[in-house]
Amino acid sequence: MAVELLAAPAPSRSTRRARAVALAVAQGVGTLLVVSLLIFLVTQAMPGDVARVVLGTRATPETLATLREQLGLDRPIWEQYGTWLWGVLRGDFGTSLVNGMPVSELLAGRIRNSLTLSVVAMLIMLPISLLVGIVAAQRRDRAFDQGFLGTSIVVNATPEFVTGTVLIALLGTTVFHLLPPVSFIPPGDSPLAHPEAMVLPVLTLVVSGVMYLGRLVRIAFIDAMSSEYVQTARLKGLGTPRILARHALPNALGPVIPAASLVAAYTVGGVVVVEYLFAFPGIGAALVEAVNNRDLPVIQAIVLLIAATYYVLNLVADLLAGGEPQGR
Amino acid sequence: MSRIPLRRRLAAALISAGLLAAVAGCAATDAGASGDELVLGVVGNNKDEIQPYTATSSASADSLRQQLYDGLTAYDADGGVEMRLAESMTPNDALDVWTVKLREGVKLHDGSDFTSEDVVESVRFMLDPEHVYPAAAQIDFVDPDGVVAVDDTTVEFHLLRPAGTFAETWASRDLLMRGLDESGEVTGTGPFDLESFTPGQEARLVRFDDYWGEQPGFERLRIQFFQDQPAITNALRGGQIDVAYSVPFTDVPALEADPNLKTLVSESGSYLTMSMRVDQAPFDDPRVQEALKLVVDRQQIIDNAFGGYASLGNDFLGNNTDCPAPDVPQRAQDLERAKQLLAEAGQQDLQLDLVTDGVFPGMMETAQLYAQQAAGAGITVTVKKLDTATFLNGWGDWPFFIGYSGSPYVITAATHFLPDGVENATHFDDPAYTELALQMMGTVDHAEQCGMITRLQEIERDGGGNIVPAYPQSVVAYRAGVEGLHADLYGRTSIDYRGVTIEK
Amino acid sequence: MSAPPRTEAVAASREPSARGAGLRRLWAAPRVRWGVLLLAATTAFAFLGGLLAPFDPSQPVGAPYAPPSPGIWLGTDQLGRDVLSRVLHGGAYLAWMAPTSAVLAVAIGAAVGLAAAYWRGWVDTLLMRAMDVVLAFPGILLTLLFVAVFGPLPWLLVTLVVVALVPGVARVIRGAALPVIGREYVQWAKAVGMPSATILRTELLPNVSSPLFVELGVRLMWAVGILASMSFIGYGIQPPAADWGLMVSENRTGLGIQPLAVLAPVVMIVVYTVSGNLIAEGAARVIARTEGRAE
Repeated sequence: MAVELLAAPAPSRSTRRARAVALAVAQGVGTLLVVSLLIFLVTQAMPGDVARVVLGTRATPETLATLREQLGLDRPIWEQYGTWLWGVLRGDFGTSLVNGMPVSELLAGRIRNSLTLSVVAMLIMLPISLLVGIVAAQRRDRAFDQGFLGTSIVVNATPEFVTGTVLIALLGTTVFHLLPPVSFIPPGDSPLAHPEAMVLPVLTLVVSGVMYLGRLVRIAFIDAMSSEYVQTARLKGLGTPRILARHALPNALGPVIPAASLVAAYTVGGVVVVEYLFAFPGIGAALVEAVNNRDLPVIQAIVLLIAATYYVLNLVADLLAGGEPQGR
Repeated sequence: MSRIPLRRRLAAALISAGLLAAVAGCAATDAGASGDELVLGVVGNNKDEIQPYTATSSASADSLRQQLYDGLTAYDADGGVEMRLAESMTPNDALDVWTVKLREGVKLHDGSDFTSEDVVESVRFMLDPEHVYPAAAQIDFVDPDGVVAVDDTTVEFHLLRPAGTFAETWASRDLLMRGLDESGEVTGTGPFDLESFTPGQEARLVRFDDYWGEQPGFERLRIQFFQDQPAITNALRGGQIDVAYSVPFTDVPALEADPNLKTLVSESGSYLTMSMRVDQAPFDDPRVQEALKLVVDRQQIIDNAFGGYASLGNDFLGNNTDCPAPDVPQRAQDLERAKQLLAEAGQQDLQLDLVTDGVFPGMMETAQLYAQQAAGAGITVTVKKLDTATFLNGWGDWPFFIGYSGSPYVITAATHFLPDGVENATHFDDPAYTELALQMMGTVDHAEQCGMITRLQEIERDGGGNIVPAYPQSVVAYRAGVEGLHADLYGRTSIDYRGVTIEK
Repeated sequence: MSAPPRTEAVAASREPSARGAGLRRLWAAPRVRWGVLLLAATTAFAFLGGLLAPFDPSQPVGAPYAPPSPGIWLGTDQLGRDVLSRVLHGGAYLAWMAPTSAVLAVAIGAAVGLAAAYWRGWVDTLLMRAMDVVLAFPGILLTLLFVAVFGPLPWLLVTLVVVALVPGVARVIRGAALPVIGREYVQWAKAVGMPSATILRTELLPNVSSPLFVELGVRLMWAVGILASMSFIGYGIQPPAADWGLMVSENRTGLGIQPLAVLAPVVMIVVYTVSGNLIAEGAARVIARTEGRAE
């Protein structure tokens, strides 16, 4: 993204960068627009609508027609999309079609929950990955390294729902009763006020994340440590900690940062399975329900949020990676 | 190559371990509900609303409304009718004017009296087509303008046509009474008052001390809404909820093995049917209908889909009245006879799609077992699981599907079997049935009604489009320490807290 | 949906130094060989295992969640069906759907990535922005939407997995191809007017064969994870089919009383996925060695 754009001819580095960022933001907005339009069209193609879902098996043609009229579903689809888009441009994401609540009110708490879950998971995941990766790189091919590689091959091969299911049985229900197997977070409370509800979902994400990121750190470090100027620095008699801090770390972070941001983006957008498993009141769970209910404004809001988060994280990663000395 | 100093590694390890331990410590002390509060777990949905006249019906909305509102009458635990907000209901001779006398001293949650005006407002609101209230179809014989408050505790209902089953009709859990407080907000007369409600997440309620009936033995109630059933079972086993609305039959052995949990099994008037459109080929051929009923190995469905918690079904909607069941032979599996019938009907190679949204426990299991059993008579049944919206979108059109019946027979007869019944998805239209059903609904005498219901069920068994393989029981699981839950035919075992106490 | 993008960053930062890091060199790597053998073995198990099944996988043979007993070696599942027979039958879908998805995703992704790298300019911008749109679409949403519209048809599930995987492959291959294009012989080929298709096929493709192999392994691994997760949340292969992912989902509440009903399919999913992981690992090592680096 931004990195590629840097190649365009421009007077100075900072101007080029500013221009690249502006362009990337514009493209991001365009991307979101396309995404929203696609969702709108696909949702129209789905069998069944809110009126059907709400009225259930007791629907009659008359009640269906009345409800559709009340919800504005009988209007032409371009008009529906236009109304929605106009609202979004003014910061109004509309109201849920199934219960009439404003989407912002419905999702505010869930967004905070999902965000907290992802951030906490990342904050724990990143340092551990760095530590494990560096230690494994330092003791390459020895017991720790071999053990880590072996474990990660198996864990990376294990879908998260399996890891989570096993953790629930182990710590929540069957073997030990240490942790609540289901994440209750009362509406309005910060998830941080209920750390016990966070442990198992965070643990599930961290276990998978560390096994992946740790490997990347390890490989990046091995590469960096064997690079010429680290060797030179070593010949000059610099101590390992200084070499690590001054030379190896910045070089190793180059490839790791974009990967970490991808993991972050994934953690934000793809926690659906984890939320489903722990009944965690987040946006992933809300998305599944909104799709089942055909609740278009809610679907749109969540998808735009996920897409925007993904896009921003990607952009930041590109900028960071572009800004780091590559050393090659 | 030297290493990272041991000190630093240790520190990092200690910090991570400490974090986890601290968090786990909190968990150990916080786990489970606290104080004088009962926590109910039920599958919930964003669709739910607090006011009683919403289009959707769901277990979660039902468990909330059961606490907030009362009906004029209600079904008792065995399927009979008892008076609730009404003290008496008296018809004129023609059965087209009913005088309802309300119970004295009933308070709304805002402290004001519940009066006949509230009844009039409630009924008119339900019947207003603008409010799209599907359950209003159950009281389509009521003229909104003919509902008159005679005095504070007397309401007269002038009906569009005579109704014998007036008291039974009002016992429906969809026809609850509400009040409006000074600011026009909806309020009720139920045993609990609402404190907060977040759709799809939780509701918090406080006991209403001026409740007219038997009080719950605890102060606060929290209803926790879940997205799916497995999480409820986990929460119960993890001590996070006190009562599970219902549990899947396959979970019962695991729950019974837990010394901290108890289960309460009740008979249930709610069950699934495998239903066919009897107005369409090949199901319009009685031989095909019978063949499809004869392939069912009912005992296997009881044992393997319902874990033994079910009794034999006989292809009529039964188990939903306090009337005796008809005295007819139990249909049993007979693959040879089924094959012969199919051969006679020229349908040796029958291929069917069995459509379901699988939302009720046992639906997917029964469908799978049925497909396997039908193969024994050369019928190919393909189970198609659809998402709920897709399933509902084709409701009424599916030729062969899994349906659901959860209402008392007087309601079911009208909704499922009369030609214009809203839930008549089998398109059943039998003049003899219709005539008898209308006659039954025009009868006040209970014994006479029972006699007719029994005959209606016989007609269904032999010529109806429903296969009813089994009547599953409902299993409620709860934490030991919860006392006083009572078995209930209409699925209120886990949500009727009259006289229920908790000990933590 | 299920697995995070795994190797873009690493593979993209690497550049093959010699022409034609061929398949032979890859095959020489023990991990690749083990991975391929394991893949072959699990695939054979998945396709032929059904022949060894003692029971019809849909037929109840006992009470639900019965523990193992003679003849029913792994016990029964939530409907009383034989777990062993279901495990033996349960890989057939995965074993064709996962490799098909992976191969298609890598082929399409490679085509997109190479085209973007070769032509640069507006082609590059257009292709990579399109990939961004796809990536920004939460995979789970695609699954929910399309399965609701068309039903859980196997080819649709494969398509959804391919769509989810292509952007990642495209980015990696584009990254790997960019340095190659700058090389003299490619520039020379362009200068003498060699057709673009020929340059792409004879000059570029051989030079990215190792990253392609890494991608194949990685995407295979993910395809398995995504397909299993789809089954788990109820939008994949549908009952009464025997399918490993579905089995985990169906039997998870019985984990406490009949753990084998869950563990047996889990082990099969993991073993199958490890094969993809080994191939990717081995190929990555070969690349590194070709470049004369540490790993």
